[in-house]
Amino acid sequence: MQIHWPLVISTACQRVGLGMFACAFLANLALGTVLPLNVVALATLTLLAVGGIASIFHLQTPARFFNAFSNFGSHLTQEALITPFLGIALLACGLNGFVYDMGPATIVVETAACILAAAFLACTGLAYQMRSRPAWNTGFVLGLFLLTAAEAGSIAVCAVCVLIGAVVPTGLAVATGVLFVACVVVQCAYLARMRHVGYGVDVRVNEEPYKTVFYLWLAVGVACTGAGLAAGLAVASSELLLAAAVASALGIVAWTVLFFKGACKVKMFPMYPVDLNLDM
Amino acid sequence: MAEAKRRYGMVIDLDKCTGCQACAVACKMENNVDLGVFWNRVYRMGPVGAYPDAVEMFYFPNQCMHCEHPSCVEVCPTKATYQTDEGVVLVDANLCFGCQYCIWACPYEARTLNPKTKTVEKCILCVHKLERGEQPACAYTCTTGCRTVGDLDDPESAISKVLEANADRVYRVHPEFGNNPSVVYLVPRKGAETLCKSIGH
Amino acid sequence: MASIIPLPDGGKIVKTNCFECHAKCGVLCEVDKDGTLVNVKGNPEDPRSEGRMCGKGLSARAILYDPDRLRYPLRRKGERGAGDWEQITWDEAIEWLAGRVEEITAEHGAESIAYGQGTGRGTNQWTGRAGNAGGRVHHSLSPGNICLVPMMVQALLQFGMFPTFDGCDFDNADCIVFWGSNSVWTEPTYTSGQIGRSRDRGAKLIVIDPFFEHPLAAKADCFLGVRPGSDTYVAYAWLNVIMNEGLYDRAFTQKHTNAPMLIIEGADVPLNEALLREGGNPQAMLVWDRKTQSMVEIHSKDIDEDIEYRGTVKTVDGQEVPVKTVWLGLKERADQWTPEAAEEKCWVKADVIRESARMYAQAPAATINVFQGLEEQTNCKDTLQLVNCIIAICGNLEKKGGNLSMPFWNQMGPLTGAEPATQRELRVVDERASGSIYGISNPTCLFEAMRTGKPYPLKGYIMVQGNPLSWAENTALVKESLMCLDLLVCMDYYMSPTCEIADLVLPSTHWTERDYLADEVCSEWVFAQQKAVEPLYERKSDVWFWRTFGHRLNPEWWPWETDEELFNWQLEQTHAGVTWDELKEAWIHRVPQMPSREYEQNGFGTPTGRAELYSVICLVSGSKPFPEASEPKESVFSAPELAAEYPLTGVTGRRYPIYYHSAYRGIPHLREIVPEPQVVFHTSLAEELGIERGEWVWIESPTGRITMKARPSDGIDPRVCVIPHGWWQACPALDLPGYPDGMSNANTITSDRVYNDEYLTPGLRSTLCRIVKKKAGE
Repeated sequence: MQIHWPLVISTACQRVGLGMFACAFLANLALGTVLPLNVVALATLTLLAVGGIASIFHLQTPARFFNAFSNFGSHLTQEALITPFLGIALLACGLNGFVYDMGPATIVVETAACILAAAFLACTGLAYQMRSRPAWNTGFVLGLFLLTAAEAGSIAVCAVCVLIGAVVPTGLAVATGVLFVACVVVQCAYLARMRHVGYGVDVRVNEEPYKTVFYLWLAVGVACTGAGLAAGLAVASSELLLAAAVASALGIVAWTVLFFKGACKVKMFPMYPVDLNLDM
Repeated sequence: MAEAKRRYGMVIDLDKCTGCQACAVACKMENNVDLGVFWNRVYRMGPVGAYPDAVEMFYFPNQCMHCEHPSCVEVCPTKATYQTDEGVVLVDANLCFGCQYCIWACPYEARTLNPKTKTVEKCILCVHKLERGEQPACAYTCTTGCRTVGDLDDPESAISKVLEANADRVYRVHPEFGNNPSVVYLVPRKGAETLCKSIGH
Repeated sequence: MASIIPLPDGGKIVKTNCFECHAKCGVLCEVDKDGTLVNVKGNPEDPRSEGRMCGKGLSARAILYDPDRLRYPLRRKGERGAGDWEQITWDEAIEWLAGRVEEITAEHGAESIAYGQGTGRGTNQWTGRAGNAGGRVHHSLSPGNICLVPMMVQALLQFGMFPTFDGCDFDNADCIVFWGSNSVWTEPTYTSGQIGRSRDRGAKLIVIDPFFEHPLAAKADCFLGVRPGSDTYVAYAWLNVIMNEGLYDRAFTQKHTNAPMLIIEGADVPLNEALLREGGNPQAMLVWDRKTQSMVEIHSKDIDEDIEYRGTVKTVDGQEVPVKTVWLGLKERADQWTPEAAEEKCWVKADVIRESARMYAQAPAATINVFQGLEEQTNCKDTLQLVNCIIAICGNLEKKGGNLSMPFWNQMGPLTGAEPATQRELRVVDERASGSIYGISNPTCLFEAMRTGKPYPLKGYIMVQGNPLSWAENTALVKESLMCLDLLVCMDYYMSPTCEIADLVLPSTHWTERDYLADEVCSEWVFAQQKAVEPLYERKSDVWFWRTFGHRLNPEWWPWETDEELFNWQLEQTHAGVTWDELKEAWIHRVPQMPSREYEQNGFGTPTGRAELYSVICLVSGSKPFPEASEPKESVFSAPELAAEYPLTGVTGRRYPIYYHSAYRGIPHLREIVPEPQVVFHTSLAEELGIERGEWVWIESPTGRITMKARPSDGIDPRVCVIPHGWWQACPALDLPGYPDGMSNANTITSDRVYNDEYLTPGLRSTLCRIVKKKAGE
């Protein structure tokens, strides 16, 4: 498939932003951190706004955006329906402590925002699962959408942790490390699966035209991210962890480009070694 | 008694199609389709194989399959893409905002984004002609008579008779997707042995 | 009027016929109340096309209203080819042209002006009339020698009628053969529907063609991937199988062909009555009658002809001459060409040749369709004669499901008027080919006369619907020749490359804009091709031009004051039995059929009254009466030194179902289907040459070089390549280029060195060439 750059940007922003919020919320809840969720929420909102503007560019007639709420069965409509609620929840979290104090209601609103964030990511991930493109015809797509969000989010949370001068709890460090490794492993499994999806559209990422993006993802999304994460955690360096977070985000961009490129449409007659021909 | 609902379908006999492109041109002219936008294209598979005895070749007219379970209708967020109760899949250009999700989801490459109108377009089974009791432009003009459009649910219709007479050659593209296309092909009697073998003929 | 159906909104439907090609399918034109063409679709009442219509005809609106079409008469102002035109009126144009013709005639004689056409749009007879009216010679500078004349005339000589084009009864055939023809793309609407129906009921299909991408090749029961130009060997091998295995129709062969005709051994001339007895009729040819055990005249009834008679006769002057039948003479030749012997020469496996011959001969009714694939070869007379023999001996002539006579082809004579007395003397041919049967000038010799003034100067060329810079061999030389003319006149739809270098360019009406008759290639009918819209701008029809201009020069030859008067006269000559007004009203009219349809009573219109295997008229014209197993004059076998440099045999002339020769590449919705010229050759050759699909490559021959995109294919012999013709026009709407100066024109590389003796045909479809990868920067 051609690369839809607005969607690459928007889904990357969504995963980094919402992943970061969800991980921050869960870290505060279960891993003993005291991260400023209001600031995180505002950062998430910013990222979502950037992503939102990018995705508007994908529409040919943005003015008709409000038509998107019509088909409840469509994951895009579901995404659209969740958006305002998610926005409100995040804004409520973001302004909490600056403009007002929600007190004990905070946890409720934050939980709601986290659930909505997960739902939003799930709908968006599901939107990319379809039979017509064998590389996308798998639960891997949803799984990886969530995993990449979790990876980027957890690394970002570690960075925030160090930035505010706290120590990264062991649980958070381990969880981040595990998520990173799990994400890379699952991504590799996805790439291995692409080699035999059939329908005449098997993809070998170490060959043209995928090679360049594949190596880019390996370099940025795996090597730099992993190195930055390991080093940053070891020496508790916010710069290194921020670099790792940025590398992770850029890695998501590279991964998404590869994801689009590999999404070839089923061949009409895959039993033949040649394509259908328009040449007369 | 209420009139029985029709379920429109089309049969295309690949044994007859000679790739003359008359249908592609008829569609363009009838529906004033813009340049660069294609509602109906005729492809060629092959020639492929060892010349001269083992070469295969056939022509393949491709357009919307008007599926019984259309992937496009399922995913369209604006409901611009919808299906009539006679089974024809259409696009309301006033609702479409060009997200192209339907183009991704369609397994049959039937849809094009029109860069001028910025909406998605495809074969409409010439519903405006069907309403007048006329065949769609492609079927009307086909120089080999390989296309027949009609009511799949009516056993007396021309299309049902063609399907019955050629039951051993009936083929729906990628039936495993569950879309159940209403456009049904008849595989060639000769020149497509690989296709026929792979679908168990 | 039954042919015009008014619509409730003030518009109308006009029943007329398309003329994007010669099939002339019945069309329903929808015109709105303002006289604008809204829609076209096929007319289900047309008994041939049954409502079907191809992509070209359907594009009528786009062609009619194409802003690039010529609108006004234009006269050259500046240098030839500079593109400097002044718009003039028709009156001015006719007067000026008449003046120029009279001046040139006075100075150089009427023989210095050639009349002609390209494809023409139904005006063959009027072009001929214009040439004949000049009184000295009708050069006929047209592609007749490469299109229609060889197959039509050869059939007229052998059968007295023409059954191998629109006479094929596909609907009732049990076996259908396409031999050098692709009628499902070129005349799709009266072939494809019928063939589909026949195959549905089990009819067999045989395709004899170098190109497997022929739309029926993969579907065929037998595909013979023949070496271009080697069809003579296939045909003789078919005769070998059919004659030796006794698969021919004995009754028809004996009674209705000249198989039993007696010829003198050695000389191969007919035994005639004058040789046997004093006062005998020299025109009377003889057969051996087993009933009376004597020689009788071939027209005799109730005899038992012996097709295998061999004996000696005593002539009037006391000599003993051995005689044999035509059948034996043909069989001796056929016996040399077993399928195994033919295989080496034609590159088709012997068992395929054998199987296909049996398939054809054993079918209860079988039909063979031929066209330019067999014509555009230097051995066309032999191939066409052989195919006609095959049809005749298998009894498929004038038979339901076989090859039927069609009336139109016999009616051209009266319409063109008598040829000048000095025709044979003044026509321009040379030692390469005498044109023993087709008595016009050789286009190549005419082009030379334009350049050199030898044998006498050719100063003027007036044509309609033609683009010799596309159809004539050796384009570069043709252009050089045309530039030498004092007068070049073209009437056409578009400013073609030939129009660009003309003195006078005249704007031709589209078929939607003109009234005419549709009679040629119309099988058993004639139609009124009435206009659907009024002509736009100042366009006129080609018929109007020939009549009006003819009348101005030679009123005795062109007495008609209006086109309608001409149509009435035309209908009278063609014995249609209807007037123009009546025909316009009814739109369709069935014409009287040929007498040979009832050949049992009427025989065939030939010297022997039979379908001739041995052609008497060929003998009389100075050609050979038997067909020869002849090789194309420039081929891998006949010109091995040339072939060493240029090893590929290039076939030109492949068809596209959406274009018509060099027309319509400017129509955007057609051009987006086939945007560029592609040379097709085998995938193994592409690998060998290191050429990728889509790469622009050179195609070179001894004549010149062109460039096209490479398209490797599995569907062709590795020793053959397919080079499309007709690419010159740009399409600005799609930002697609034209191909100026013949850079992608197939005829830039075809040979003007060798010709068929009888029909003056060049070997366009077996051109020795090579494909060369471009170097960096080329």
